[in-house]
Amino acid sequence: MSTVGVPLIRLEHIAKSYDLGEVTVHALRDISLTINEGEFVALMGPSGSGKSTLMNVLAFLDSPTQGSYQFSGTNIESFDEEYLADLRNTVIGFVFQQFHLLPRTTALDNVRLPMQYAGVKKAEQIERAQAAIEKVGLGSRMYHKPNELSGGQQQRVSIARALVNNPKVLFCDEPTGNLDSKTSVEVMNILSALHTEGKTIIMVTHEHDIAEFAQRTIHIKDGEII
Amino acid sequence: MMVHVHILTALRQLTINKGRSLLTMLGIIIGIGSVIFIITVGEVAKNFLISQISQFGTNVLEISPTGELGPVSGDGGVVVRTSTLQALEDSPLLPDLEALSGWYGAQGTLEYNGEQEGVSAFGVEKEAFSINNFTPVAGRVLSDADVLQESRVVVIGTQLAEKLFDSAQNAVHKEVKINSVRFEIVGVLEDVPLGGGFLGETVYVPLSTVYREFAPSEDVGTVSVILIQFAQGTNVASFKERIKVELKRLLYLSDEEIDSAFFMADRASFLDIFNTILIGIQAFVSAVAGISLVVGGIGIMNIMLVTVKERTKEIGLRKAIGANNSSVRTQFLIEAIILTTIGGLIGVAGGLTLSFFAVVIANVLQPDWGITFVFVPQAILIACGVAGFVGLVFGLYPAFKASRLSPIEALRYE
Ligand SMILES: Nc1ncnc2c1ncn2[C@@H]1O[C@H](COP(=O)(O)OP(=O)(O)OP(=O)(O)O)[C@@H](O)[C@H]1O
Ligand SMILES: [Mg+2]
Repeated sequence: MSTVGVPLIRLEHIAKSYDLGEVTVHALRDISLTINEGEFVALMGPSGSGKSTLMNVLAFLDSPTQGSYQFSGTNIESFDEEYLADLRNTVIGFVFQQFHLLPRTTALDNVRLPMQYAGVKKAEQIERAQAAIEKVGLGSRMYHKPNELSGGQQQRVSIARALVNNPKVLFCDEPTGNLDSKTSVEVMNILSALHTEGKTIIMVTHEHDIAEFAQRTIHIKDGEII
Repeated sequence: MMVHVHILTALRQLTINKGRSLLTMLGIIIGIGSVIFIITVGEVAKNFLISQISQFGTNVLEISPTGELGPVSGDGGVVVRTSTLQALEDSPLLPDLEALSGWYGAQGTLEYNGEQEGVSAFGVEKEAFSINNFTPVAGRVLSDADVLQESRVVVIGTQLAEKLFDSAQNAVHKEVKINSVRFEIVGVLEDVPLGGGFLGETVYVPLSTVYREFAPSEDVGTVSVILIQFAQGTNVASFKERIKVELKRLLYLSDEEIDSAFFMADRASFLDIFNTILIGIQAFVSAVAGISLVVGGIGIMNIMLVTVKERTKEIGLRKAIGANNSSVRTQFLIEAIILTTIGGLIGVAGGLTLSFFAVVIANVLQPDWGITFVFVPQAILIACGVAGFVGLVFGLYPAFKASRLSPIEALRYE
């Protein structure tokens, strides 16, 4: 998909506003940025500055109200809903601050979920899910349900889920936001290792020591890059 | 995503909310259950009736008075005499008339060893037995000689024989009194459930003997029921018409008089009448069940809308990791279809169980009838199909709503 010389992500004058009737909230005002394949980028900014909104736009979960977004050289406006779903399924992985694991469902089955939408055969699903769970160091918790796992363990399951279809890019919105500092470091070590393997990682964080794991930090405030 | 994954997900979801799922299915269960019940019971009754009628022979026309039991007589005092029957038998218009039997009925009391039984004593000749396929389980049926000699002999049914004499064999040659007149039992007939009189047991005596012993003098030579056996393959409508023509001529009746004086039916037409009634009942029950299914369907739609609301976060997550609209739609549609199909299956099981018990109870009440249970596989298949279809129709809107959720809004939903 990538072409030499073309950046993986290229935003030009992206704006996102929410029309709430009386007022209009400008979550993103004028964002232009470029991220190349293989980068590890941290997004920092005060609460409400628009970091999550930007991540959601980047990860095809939300659409901007203005500006253009080119992914691997193609404007995403030309993609239909089905194709965007495909991209979310196989080209990117998303790690949420709140984990968003399916309740009453084992770690293994949670991690299998993206492969079910990719049409992977059952035996291969199990094999790959097990490998992904082992990779995040949870081999012994394969059949635990979310309510039987600690926050750090749940976050690692959700990283395994994001990885299992072998995506190009990993989006992590405050992956350590709900974790203590020790577990945060464990999770960050996993992300660093993935970056070393060649994954592009874009991560939102509040904390400077977490941002230091990244190669580059982009600061935003009031919906603009500063 | 593959359909079987959706099915597994749906089944798991239903087991999570077992109680709620069951309550939701209730309308479907009742609707499908009652249809299965009424169709199965109807089919059981129809099969039973067919077996009964074919036991009697279906090529028989029954002519009976429209009024009370008594001589075949209409408003104008129409009386059918044995001589009238003879004229019918000889009529050139009726070459397909094979046998004819006139009955004269009298109410009476049969007495043996101090035990008394109310009976309908029918005076008949030997044709009554051949036309009805009545065969004796013990002894013999009535003969021409019995009629000729005005013998005081009687043929009774198995049930009466067993009651008074413990067995059919024991009854033969025993002496009983009918209305204080001595009779010898010469034969015992197998009981035919629908063949008996409505007023207690039916016993058969020679027609001539009944006239002599029991009939008021003005009734002698008259009959109250006529059975006419016609050749196989006869056009029943034409045969009836020709009988009417002859009866009109012989009894000096007008068109209106003949229609009001007699009730005329061939036995196959009893089945037609029964079928018409059955279809009416089945249509009515199906209509009520249809309402129940619609109400049930609305219940399904309601619960699916609740489910979609409750699982908004899950839908958001599924979309965030790659589910497209059609996949989400299929998931919830399948969930609704599975819900109603399981409801349908429970309804089928319930309907079958109920009708099975109805047959068991009928057999306890009437052990001799030998009513047998019948499966109606088409009804079961159609019922399950209808149940699934209800799920499809009423699941469509909730599924569509689920599929249209924006991933990020769904994930943020509280
Ligand atoms: N669905 C929405 N409707 C209205 N306003 C919204 C919506 N989503 C976000 N906003 C607003 O957009 C702005 C940016 O929100 P966003 O969640 O991107 O901030 P953030 O930088 O991620 O903050 P935090 O660090 O607290 O997570 C906020 O002012 C928020 O109130
Ligand atoms: Mg945020």
